[in-house]
Amino acid sequence: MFQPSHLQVAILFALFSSVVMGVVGRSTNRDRVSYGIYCFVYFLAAIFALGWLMRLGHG
Amino acid sequence: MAAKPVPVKRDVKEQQVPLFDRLSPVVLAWLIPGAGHYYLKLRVHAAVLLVTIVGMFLTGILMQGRMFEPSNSDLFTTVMTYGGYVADLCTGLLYFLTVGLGYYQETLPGAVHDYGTKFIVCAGLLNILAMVDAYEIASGRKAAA
Repeated sequence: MFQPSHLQVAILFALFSSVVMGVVGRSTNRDRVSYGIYCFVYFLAAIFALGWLMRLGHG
Repeated sequence: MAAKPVPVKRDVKEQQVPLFDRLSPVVLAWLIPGAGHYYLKLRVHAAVLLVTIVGMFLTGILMQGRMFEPSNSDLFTTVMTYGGYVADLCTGLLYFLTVGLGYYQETLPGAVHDYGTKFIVCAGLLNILAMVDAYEIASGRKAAA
């Protein structure tokens, strides 16, 4: 069975979602690529920010 | 006195496209992720959508994710199971093939199986985005570039 860590799962999720959002979210290829990268970077930022927030919240 | 603004008919272009031509890419996109875009001659988009959505679905299966079954009990369970079931159905043939080939997963302890369940659901939700995009392109609301 595939047993990825929580971080690996979150990054995979971010990657898949960003690709689809990039393809359907914009009208030109250049915009698609930049929007996909934009979404991926924001997903990663949210993952790390919320991860640290939860860690600090737990003490 | 100011002139009365004339209402803009936004859907005139959409109404010029026959219903069959608008809906067939949506049905194809539902059955096979990316097929709607392939039908609209957007081959690269179709390939990217196919690889991504099928990849997400298979990752969920590899993590032994569970398929939702509708269940009527308390409100939360009902909403969650029906919502999950509809999202699973939105993966189209992937769902029917998997269930038809006998895939069944009990609720297992551990986080990875739960991630798998969510991946399968999200594959369906991403396919909804692809279906909506195929509809918008087919109906002329969005430029196909």
